[in-house]
Amino acid sequence: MNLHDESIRNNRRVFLKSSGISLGSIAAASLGFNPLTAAQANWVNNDTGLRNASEPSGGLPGLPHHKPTAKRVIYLFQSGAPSQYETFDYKPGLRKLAKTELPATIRNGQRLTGMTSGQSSFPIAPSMFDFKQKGESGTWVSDLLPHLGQVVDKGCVIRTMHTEAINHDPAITFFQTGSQLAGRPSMGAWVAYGLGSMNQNLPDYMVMVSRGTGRAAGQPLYDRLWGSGVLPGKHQGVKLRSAAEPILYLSNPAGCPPEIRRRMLDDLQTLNQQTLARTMDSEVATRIQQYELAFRMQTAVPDLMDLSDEPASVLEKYGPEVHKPGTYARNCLLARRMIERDVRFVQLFHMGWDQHDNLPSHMSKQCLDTDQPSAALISDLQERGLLDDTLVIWGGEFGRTVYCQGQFTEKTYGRDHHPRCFSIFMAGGGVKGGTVYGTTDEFGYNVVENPVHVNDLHATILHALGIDHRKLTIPFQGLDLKLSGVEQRNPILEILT
Amino acid sequence: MTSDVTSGRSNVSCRPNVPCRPNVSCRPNVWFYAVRCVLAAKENRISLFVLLACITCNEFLFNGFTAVAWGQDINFRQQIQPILAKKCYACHGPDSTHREAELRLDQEDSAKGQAITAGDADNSELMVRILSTDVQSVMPPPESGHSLTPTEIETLRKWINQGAPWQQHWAFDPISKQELPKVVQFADGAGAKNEIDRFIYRSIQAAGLQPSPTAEKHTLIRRAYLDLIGLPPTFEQVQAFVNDTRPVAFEKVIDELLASPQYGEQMAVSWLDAARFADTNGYQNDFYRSMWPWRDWVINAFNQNLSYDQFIIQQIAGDLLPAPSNDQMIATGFNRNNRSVTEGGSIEEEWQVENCIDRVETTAASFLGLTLGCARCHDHKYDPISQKEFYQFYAFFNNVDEKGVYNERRGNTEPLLSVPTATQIAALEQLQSRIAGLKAKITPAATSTTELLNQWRSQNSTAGQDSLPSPIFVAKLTPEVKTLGMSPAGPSLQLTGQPDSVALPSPPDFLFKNDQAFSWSAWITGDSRGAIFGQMDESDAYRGVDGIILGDGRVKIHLISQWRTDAIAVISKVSLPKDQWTFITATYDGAGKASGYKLYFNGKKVNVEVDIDALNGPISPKVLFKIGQRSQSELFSGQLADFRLYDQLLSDDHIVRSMKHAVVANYDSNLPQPSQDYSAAQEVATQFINSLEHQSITQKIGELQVEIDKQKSQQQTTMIMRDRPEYRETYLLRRGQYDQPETSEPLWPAIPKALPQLTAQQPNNRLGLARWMVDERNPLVARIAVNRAWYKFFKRGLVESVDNFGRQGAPPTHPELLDWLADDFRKSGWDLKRLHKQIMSSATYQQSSNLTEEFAALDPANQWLARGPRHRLGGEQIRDLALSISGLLQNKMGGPSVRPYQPDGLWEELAGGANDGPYKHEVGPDLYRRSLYTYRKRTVSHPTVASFDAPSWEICQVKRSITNTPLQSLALLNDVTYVEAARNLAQQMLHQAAQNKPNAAQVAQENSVAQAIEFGFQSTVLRKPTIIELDTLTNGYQQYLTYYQANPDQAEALTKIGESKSDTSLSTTQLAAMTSVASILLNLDEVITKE
Repeated sequence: MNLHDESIRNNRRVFLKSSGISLGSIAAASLGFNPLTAAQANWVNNDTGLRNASEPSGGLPGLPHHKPTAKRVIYLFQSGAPSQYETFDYKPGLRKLAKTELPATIRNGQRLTGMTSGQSSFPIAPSMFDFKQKGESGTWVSDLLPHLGQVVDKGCVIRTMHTEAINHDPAITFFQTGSQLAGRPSMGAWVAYGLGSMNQNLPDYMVMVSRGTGRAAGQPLYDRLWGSGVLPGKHQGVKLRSAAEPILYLSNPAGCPPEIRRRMLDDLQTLNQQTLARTMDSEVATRIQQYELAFRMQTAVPDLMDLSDEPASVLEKYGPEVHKPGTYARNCLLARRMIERDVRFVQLFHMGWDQHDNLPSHMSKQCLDTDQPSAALISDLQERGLLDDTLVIWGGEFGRTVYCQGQFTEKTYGRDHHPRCFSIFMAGGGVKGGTVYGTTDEFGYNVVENPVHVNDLHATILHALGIDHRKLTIPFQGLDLKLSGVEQRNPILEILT
Repeated sequence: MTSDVTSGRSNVSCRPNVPCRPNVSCRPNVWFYAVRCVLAAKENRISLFVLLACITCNEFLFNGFTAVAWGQDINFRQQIQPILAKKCYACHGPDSTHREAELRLDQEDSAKGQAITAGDADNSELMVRILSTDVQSVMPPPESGHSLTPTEIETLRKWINQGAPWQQHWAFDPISKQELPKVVQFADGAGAKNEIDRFIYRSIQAAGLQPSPTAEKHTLIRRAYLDLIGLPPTFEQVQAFVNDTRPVAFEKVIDELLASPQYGEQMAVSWLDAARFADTNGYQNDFYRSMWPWRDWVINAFNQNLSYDQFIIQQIAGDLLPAPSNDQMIATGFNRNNRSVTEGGSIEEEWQVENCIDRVETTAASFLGLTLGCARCHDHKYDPISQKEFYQFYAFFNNVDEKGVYNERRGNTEPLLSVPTATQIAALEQLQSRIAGLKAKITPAATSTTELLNQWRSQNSTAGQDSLPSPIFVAKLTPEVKTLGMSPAGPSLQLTGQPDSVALPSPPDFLFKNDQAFSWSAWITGDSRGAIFGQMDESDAYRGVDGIILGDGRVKIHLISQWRTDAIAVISKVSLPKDQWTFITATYDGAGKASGYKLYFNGKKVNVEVDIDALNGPISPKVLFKIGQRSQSELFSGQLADFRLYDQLLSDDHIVRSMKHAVVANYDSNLPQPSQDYSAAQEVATQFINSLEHQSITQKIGELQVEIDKQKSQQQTTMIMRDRPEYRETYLLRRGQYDQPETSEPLWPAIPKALPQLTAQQPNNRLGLARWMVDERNPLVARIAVNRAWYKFFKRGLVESVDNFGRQGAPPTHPELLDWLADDFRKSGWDLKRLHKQIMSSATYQQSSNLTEEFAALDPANQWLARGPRHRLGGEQIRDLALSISGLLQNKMGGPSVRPYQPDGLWEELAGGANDGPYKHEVGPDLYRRSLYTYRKRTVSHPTVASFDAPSWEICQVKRSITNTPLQSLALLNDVTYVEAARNLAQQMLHQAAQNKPNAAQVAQENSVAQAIEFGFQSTVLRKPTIIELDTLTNGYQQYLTYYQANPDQAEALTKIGESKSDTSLSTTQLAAMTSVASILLNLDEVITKE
């Protein structure tokens, strides 16, 4: 039995119970709108603010498995991998060890990328930037992230993330899908599949990308990262673009105003209902509905993108870049607007974190891109009462090495890829505020206590959403495929309320 | 994607590999049981009335029919094994590492020995544990996430009480010959058209259903066109068929379509999915590659009806066939379509393994229907495939001559085959004839040989022989078993690559060390391959030293402490000259760097490529020094002579003088006696000296050769399979990790034991594997093939899990038909066109697809096939259909992929426009080619097809989902592709109306409008519109026209969309209004659906 069969079966029951009523009228009734008034209808329900949420629909039966602490997720993915030494993992002791050789016992046979495996020396490069204790919690945060420092009490720094991959493509694929191999669903798709939709006009999983200023040619991204893999295609992330057309083919063609389009859709529906009556195929009814949803999206998406209702004070919080479409700052603001509209999973990808060389100058720029908008998003969500049930995550696909890659001077150094430990920051959605999880060694190179594998993080995100990661599965290649992989993984319950 | 709108009904047909949701009782089984029940009822004379009552009972239909009540036999395969597989095998199955209590429920002996007492459910531990209320002992354990439904428990109980009869998994049984079922007659006179129907009707009858009437003729011909060529017929073609009342009318249509070149294009679409074909290499850089010659091979193979066994053999092992043709080599590109890594810093070995695993998974999924990939990290949890067997199967593919990482490399990577154009071939032939002319000038010059020998002789005596360094070892090459030949330096050995080394009575008393200088030399013929010498321990990470000749004649020298991580490997950039002797010398300075290990051909230093330069550890192996091989491998074939080893670094001068000395000495030693040896020595010396003598000509030849190489490099290439000259050892990889090989046991290619084994005629290489696949003992391949053909037409396989014939897959709904078709297919010579015709000729295929309430109730998923298929078309087909109806479609076949319209900036957003530059759509006819030819960039899918569930071609996919989303609606309404198509269709519609009404002004009149719309409707939907349909569109047209007459600038804007020129002879406002009508037509459910 596949999903399709089951949905048909359920529909048929409704169908049969309604026997005696004409098929056309069933179809029309099930659509729930009157074509005559549809054209004038305002599809965004403003009566309840922006939230037109009803009960979630379309999810799997039996979900959530337990009471969730988060309903929605914003994942601020820092693509290219930011260094933990310049963000959240304070290692003051390294200054004394500057330029000394990293002890072999610390490297401990770790595999290296082809970029530094030929290096004859592995000199320790301490961070050039100072750290300060922030918030009431006194969490150490780099001076490169002053704004995130101000919201550090809202969340938890995990210092002991670790991964299995050491190159970007497999590592980011691993982060997004739980596997380094292609073909698996991304986490947003899993969540959309499991929990269904909370809104009527927008996709469940939306994605935005931006380009950093720190590295001209950052690591590229790929559709696979928000794909649906073996799950039905409707769960894949919909990329919201900064171009004139935020969603592909959203705009009517030139010369086709909304009133003409509305009339076309009415005619199309009339004809499709003839087909429905003749074939009794529920797919026809679905198709009619999808055309109407498409029409609503044509209003809902521009409304989402239209910032004219944002007060200047709010725009100011996100920083000057918010005025430029396609920037990280703009995307952060849009993320908040999506969350207000109950989009289930929002993911931003900010490219340009890959500081193999010139780390101090490049990383300063990347932090400037992202620090203020990320912090603004968190506080903005909180002011609107949305942070409590929205999980916000900031982090990249792996860490950077403590030893220098390439040129090492007073002013500059670089760091290679490092999978064994790195830091991320999580806030809201039930995360205990003002906490730090996990301890790394004095070199920031190995985990000493409380390691968090990428698949553990997946389990944690799902747990916050009320999902037992072991139970959200789909048969694939003879396995019960899970976002959290095949090994035993655990949600990090200590960081959740 | 949102709320209740899509919650229940939207889309979601089966995504590949998603046969079933856990914890949902499997309806196929219930149904199968119902059929068995009815069949059995006849024999047991159970009242048919009771059965019918049962069948119409809602409880039976929807809540699961409990077999227990009816006292019928439980079917192990259909009812028991699926339960055990899904709920129990994870801990009590084939995977030995996760097996609990040593209990196997996949094996009869173990199950009955420990958990099942046949005939006594109450005393079977299995039942006791299942029914236990104790959390500690209940099975399945709660933490497994699995639980048994009451129906499943009762089914198990009943089965055990019936004696627990056991059967092997159906798919591993040999394909059996099937008796044709008796002809079934239905009340309304529906009759079987061919054998297929006899099987299908039996099940339809058993399910209490009636077959549907034959589809209306316009529907039927459209279905046939879409299925076979992926394009709709024209209205004229439909009419001709409707009017053709001959009984053979439909057969004629099928035959025409099978002969059409578009047949191959349509058939290729799904094969390209399985073969993960794309135009880029797929990981983050995603550079262009050109594999389109392979894609064209596939299209041609279908069109020429290449037999399916050859289709398999050529793709898996075309390169290993005797004297393979170019086509057969191109076919092997199937296994080069995998993604390949170019990301700087990636680890070679890691991706070598990934590439190989991809080939295993793709080959197993596409031909065997097995999910072998599961056994990469551990024994398969459900199917009888151990981890070791996985790596034995992997060994078939582990010797491909490629690297794991091509650092930032663009374009195709080796192994390659050139597919030159006619012009290129001519240019090459010209160069080759010039080379032949030059070669003819090289004539034996006996006098100059003598003179030169004299010169060398006097040089030697002047310098004094004593000043030449003495070798510490000279191989005495005189074993009796070897054939002896003559080299310029004396007797030579002719070796044949057989595993018997040259006996060395006294091996050299020398220890190879990384800080010890040494040199060696030998005389080798140009056709030689394999190790000249070796003292290398393959079982100790290849520690040691060797000098080998690669398959392409290049010389490779190694100093290894640990292979790849701690080694020096240097390869000559030139190959040994063909048809002549070469004096090879290698010198090592003892400094531990690749730059200190030098190669000389005939006394001249040759340029080398450094493969590895990372030697630190000791290189002294604990194995014997050997000539003509390493310790175990790289057996030499060809001729070699006069191997010498020195414990010092030879100078350039030493090397030249040694060479001359050896030639003179050999010549002189044979001089006095007019023997056979003498003439041989004379000849070989003359040839050798000539080759040195005519160096200016040789140089010119070399230059021409370079020119040839240059021209060849500009030729179109395609990636092919070719095995490495050196055998790459295969080991089990612990946890599937590339860096955790189980080196204690080298593995050789082999078939998993649960399947028939290779025969003596099937070598254990890819060719043997390919022949094994099409061997009649193979139970899987023919079943997979016919099931996939069935799926093509019905969008539902006889085995629903088209991609998985293992125990986790669905059992066949019609096992007898599946076997009958498979058997018949093989006996017919694996004839695909015949199979397709056979299916289409059945009454089953030709049924109407309309639903009735009865069907909706009794068989919503249409597994009993009492009605025809109805499903949305694929993304390629929908676009092709719009282009075809609007007259824009270009029928040009093959060649490089093309770029149709695509929204601006898509590539740049993700890849920064790197690699391929910004996307620019074609201008001219290539804009309107069939979607099969659309450029496939793996990391940024083309939205026109991707929105309609086309895969991203990263991994093998044999089944596409059929979803139904608002993004599809937006694409069909707003994408320039479809707006332009609508406008072109509208132009035809208006012209049609004008033809009937010569006065153009009259076109605006309602009557003409109706005619135009009727024409458009017929062109698109291929039937006459109903009155409601016509009225709706005609009224709509008037509304649009009113608007565009008031807003002519909008009309202007709409009709300008697309590269094709707008027809200025038509009124723009009318054209705009009619374009809106045409757009509706192209969006109709009936148009984008196959009925």
